[in-house]
Amino acid sequence: MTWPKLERGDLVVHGGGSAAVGSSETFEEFYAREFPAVVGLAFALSGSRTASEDLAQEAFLAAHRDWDRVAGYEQPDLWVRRVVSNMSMSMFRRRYAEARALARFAFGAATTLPQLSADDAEFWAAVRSLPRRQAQVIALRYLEDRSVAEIAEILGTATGTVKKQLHDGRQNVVRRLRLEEDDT
Amino acid sequence: MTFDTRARRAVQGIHRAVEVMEMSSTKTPQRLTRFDQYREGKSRNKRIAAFAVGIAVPVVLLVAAALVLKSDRNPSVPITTPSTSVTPTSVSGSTHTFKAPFTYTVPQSWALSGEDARYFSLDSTVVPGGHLIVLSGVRAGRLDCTNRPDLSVGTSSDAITTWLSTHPALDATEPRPVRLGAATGSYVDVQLAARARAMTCPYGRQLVTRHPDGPQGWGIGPIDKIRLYVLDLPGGDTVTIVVDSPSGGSKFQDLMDQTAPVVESFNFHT
Repeated sequence: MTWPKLERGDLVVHGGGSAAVGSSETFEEFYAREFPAVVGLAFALSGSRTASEDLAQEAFLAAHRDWDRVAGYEQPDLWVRRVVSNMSMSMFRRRYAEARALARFAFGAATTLPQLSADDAEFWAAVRSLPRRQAQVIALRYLEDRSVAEIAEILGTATGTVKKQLHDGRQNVVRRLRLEEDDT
Repeated sequence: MTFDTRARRAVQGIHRAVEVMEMSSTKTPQRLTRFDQYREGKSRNKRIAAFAVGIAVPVVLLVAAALVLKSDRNPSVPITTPSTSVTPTSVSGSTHTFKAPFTYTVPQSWALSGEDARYFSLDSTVVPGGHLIVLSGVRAGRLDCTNRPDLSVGTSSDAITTWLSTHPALDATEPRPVRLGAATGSYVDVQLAARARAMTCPYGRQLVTRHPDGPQGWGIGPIDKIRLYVLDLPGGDTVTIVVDSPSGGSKFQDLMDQTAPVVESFNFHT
């Protein structure tokens, strides 16, 4: 799907600073509300404690850069999740973010995300080993508790495709981790 | 341990990690400052990149032009003869582990994408949203969020498609007969009735289901339109073929036109 464009002049609320078009929410409020969950999504999909915060920041940077337009979307939170889920699954971006995180380490700032338990790390590693779309669908469904329709909107795909990828992703993780079938 | 149990634990792990990060973080204003600094840096990089591209493009064009002129002067370049071999336009296949075995013939752009004892799927690489899902032994769902079967509905093709076509929460076509090899039954096109779209479920409202809490059913959301082929097999089992709509049903007929020949190629064994 394409994200709806809001024409300038429609529903415009001229506020100060980075106030949204068609909304009273500022970028800072949006950021404060959504940032932790977006870091979690980046953590699950990138597997990197050091890079996930940077990946989330990059996604919010993209939103900030174009905030007048993004804030006009019906659900800007879905848009920022689409950006971070795509970036988190990209090796190039991941290395780029890792490099920035490394530099941050070198200058003495510490990451604040703690390590996952071995079991949890193993589960998310299995998710990341799935084909890209399956991994994104699993993370959005379970971590974010998103519905099939919302996931389809975030990833710009058909709901039928999401249902199928959810099924295939689950089955693949069941096989890789030798879990029991959800069968009775 | 089941997938759902393991997933719930792993999700809690991520949530705990993010909570710890939030508790130890006092950097929100700094992050916004970093955004502005980062944006300035990116803007500068873009200007540098534009300058570099401005220089590189004419150089590349000059080199390419020189190479083209050079190749035009060389008469010894062999002329290739187009291949006379004919590319096959369709491929045949058969199930291996699916418990209701069948053969099929599909265009080359379709490929097997998943198979186990109760699930078989084909994906198209060129048809948007082109998936065919084949499920064995499913029952009518309760059309709620529970994934549980409606045990008051029979298990035959006739019982399930009649139930689908008359359910008050659905807008459905009349069942139309279909025969695929030894399997006979009917198919219906269904979508949620307008009055039933307010209730949404994570997986959609379950049309057909096999396992409570499992992934082996198929749900329908407020914007979906789905074709279900429900077929009786000679051994007494039932098989369901699902064709789900792309783009909220807006291109439903296009997808049906593309998938119908594939479904019709299915030949279930006796």
